[in-house]
Amino acid sequence: MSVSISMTVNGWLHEAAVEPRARLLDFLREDLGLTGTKEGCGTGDCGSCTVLLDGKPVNSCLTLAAEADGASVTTVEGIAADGYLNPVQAAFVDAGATQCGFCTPGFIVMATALLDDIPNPTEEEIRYGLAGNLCRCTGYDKIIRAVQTAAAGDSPRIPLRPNSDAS
Amino acid sequence: MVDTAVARDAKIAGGHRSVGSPAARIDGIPNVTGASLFGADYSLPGMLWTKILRSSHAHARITRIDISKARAHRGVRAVATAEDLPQDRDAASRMQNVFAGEFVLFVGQPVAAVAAVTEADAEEAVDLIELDYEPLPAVIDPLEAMEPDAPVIRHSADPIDRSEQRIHTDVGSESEEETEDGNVSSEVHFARGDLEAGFAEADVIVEGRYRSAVLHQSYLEPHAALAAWDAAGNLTVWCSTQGQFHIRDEIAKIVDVPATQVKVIGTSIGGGFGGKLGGLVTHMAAILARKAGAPVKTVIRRSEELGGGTPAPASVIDVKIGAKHDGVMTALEGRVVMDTGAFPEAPMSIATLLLGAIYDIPNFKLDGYEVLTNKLSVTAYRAPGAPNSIFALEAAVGELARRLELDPIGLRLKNEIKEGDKWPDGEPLGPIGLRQCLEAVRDHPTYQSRSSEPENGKLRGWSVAAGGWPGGSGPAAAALHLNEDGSIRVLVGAINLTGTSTGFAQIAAEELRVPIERVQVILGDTDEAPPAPVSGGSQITYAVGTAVKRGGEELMRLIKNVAAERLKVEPEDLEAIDGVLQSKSDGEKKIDYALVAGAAIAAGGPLAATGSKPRLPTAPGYAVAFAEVLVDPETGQVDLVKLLEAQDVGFAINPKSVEGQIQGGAVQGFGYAVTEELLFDEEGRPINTAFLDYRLPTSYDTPDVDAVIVEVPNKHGPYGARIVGEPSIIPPGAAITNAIAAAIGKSVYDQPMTPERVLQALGRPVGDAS
Repeated sequence: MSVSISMTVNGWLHEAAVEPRARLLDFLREDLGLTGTKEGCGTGDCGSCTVLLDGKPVNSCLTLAAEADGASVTTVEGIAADGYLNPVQAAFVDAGATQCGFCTPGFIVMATALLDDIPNPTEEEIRYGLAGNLCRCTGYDKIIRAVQTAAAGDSPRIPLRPNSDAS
Repeated sequence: MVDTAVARDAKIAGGHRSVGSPAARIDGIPNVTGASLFGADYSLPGMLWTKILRSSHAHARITRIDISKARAHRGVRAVATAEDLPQDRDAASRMQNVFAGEFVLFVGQPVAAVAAVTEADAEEAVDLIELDYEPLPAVIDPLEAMEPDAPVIRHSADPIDRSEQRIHTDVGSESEEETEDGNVSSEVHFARGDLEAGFAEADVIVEGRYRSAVLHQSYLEPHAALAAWDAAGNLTVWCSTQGQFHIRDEIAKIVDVPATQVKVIGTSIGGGFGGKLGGLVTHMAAILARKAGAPVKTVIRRSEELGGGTPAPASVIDVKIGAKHDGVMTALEGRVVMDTGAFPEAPMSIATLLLGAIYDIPNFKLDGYEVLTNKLSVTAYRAPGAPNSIFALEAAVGELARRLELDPIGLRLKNEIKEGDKWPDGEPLGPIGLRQCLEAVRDHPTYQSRSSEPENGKLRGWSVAAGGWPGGSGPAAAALHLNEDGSIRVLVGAINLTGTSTGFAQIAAEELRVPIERVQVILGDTDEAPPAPVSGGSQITYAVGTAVKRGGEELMRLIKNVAAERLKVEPEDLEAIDGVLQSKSDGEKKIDYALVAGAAIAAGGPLAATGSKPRLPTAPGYAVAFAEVLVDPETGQVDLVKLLEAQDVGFAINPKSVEGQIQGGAVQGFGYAVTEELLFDEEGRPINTAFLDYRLPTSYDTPDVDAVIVEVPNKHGPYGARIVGEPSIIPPGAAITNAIAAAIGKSVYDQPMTPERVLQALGRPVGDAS
């Protein structure tokens, strides 16, 4: 038995039949090939699978694909805009806030949502807002600095795919 | 700090352009856009999925296993058990015993695995495997395991394979003796001077028994592999591994084909910290793929990582130190008992040795025992064994400082080990930066602003700790090539775990005098790339970086020769700047690298060079940490409010990456000290197998981390660099527990200091939750 769903992902409309038990994470990774969204725990504790569902961050490992029927989803692959990394992405590259890179997509999506919600957060607000995303490599320090840089509008402007027609 | 800054300026003045600068990571953009591909991100058409059946007993004989119903289930293409393993496998090796044979030795040990068309099919089939056990007496506590009447849980006296451990360091391992009966699998003994006389001379003696818990490396990416065989019998494995050549050789043993018939493609790796040296899933995927005749993907869940992985060992360490009134230490006695779980692989020797590697104490006796129990067997976790022994040593030294009312940094400066002093195994030290790290912490504003003032009913304390680590340096090679457009290609076989590829680009850019953007670093697979050691033992920049540097020097020489011929000058007359060679005597004569590449192709052929290096002496790295905490005496909650760490890295090829390494290690030390512990019930069952209750530090728990880079050059490393990755995890945990002891005014004997343990130390009632 499968369920028909229709979902806009990173601006593209998808219509698909999914198993009722399929998670949004599985749909994105296995059906759409969007492997930027990571599974670190599968229980909503690490935040590596964070995506935006109608603009709000969710753990895609705790969301059924069928629940996202009719919704608009943004993954890390779709968060850059206008041919440039978004300010959070650019600040992460510049600050050395990505080490192994596995938790990075979740942090990028979560921090983007955080700044959307609180454009000028205090350090405490950033640390609290990102506490659902685990990172084992960085000790968080450079991640916090990167989000502060992005909030201050001081991110460098880094082109995405500089050789493509889109930029 | 002043020394360091001066040394650094001199080096920069000495003409470095690329090394020593905080270049952005070359994998930064792929990481932030989701383009980096990790182990689980690879798939093939017709690929099967895996589920694993794991032991529910800590110790039992398998009396019956029937896979017939599972094999007949929808979608199932293969079921593998110990029947599929080579007969001559090493019974003492966790990795070679992919599946339990006659005996299961810990809860969570794989017994069988199913490959099926969907994950759901595989999961259903696993439930259809019929298994009967005859439970046997289990031993869970390492001290009980050492008792003469304890049940002996070892079923084999096979020699122990220490190859994986020696990756991190082989220092101390020569002294290790294997034992053949009982539950002690190996022991080590170091002694110097006259211990009794040393204690007799002492004015004060401190001693304690210090316990550390089982911790999980908790790389965010669970183990993942994809295996596929071709019709000619060649195997390809995509996997998240710290060492593709190492895992290739291990897989080859298990599937019993020559290593050259196995190709390992190391993917982007989502953290390893020692936990991805071994093959938790690679061997299984390879076996299943051959049986099924189809590609097999094996990815484990977080609950299987925590409940069936290879964590870091628990230990019970006794330390006794004697000292004069002025703080000069006269004697040290240490006894390390390290719980290796069901297979011998504990970093016991190095943990024992490190007790005598921080202070120069004339009389010591150090004994270590590796003990088998029926729990998850352990492996490396960043500076394996060091956080355990340094916690014990530094807790005792902290107590000594309090008893003698001496400044903790002053006490350490009085006893610090120095160049020329010998480690317990007799290795004399080259130049090290322990003193400089102690001074860097002492002079840092964060340390200068330390406080012991209580706040809102919370107790405040601060303290310091020192630690060190030998590291490794395996043989390595790198291949460099001048591209036709004048850019440089660097081919290496080392996994990019900590930003090392960016470091290689900087080294090649330095040697060849090109901007870093003109260097392309390629991680080849095991068929393509020159050999490299594993990304463990902090050795990649030290070892492979040296190979890249040597290859760069040689390629520069070749480029200059071709250019000199074209320009009709002597090679010595040429100076390279930003990819252009120019005559020093005649500025009109110049040629860019693209033209050199073209000229070379027309003359002797494309320009390529290999840099190679043998095993080198270790380049020990020391680090010193300062921590300040607030402790709530009502709840036992510890707030870490300041964390500072100084580390000697010899020379920071990329200061930004080095800072990140120090900060990350420091926060892992916080996990050791306060938040992390894998708990087992009385039957040896791991009980907190999710991140909900196995608590990694979060951004909200963690303060800003001040990292200070100290640079005391090492003569073997590139530009003076020494090991970087591991030392930073060592002293912060000890500094934090010492700070807790200072805050509550009681000795601390356990890591982690959970709220329950803090309340117990304070003599307060602990609620039911404990």
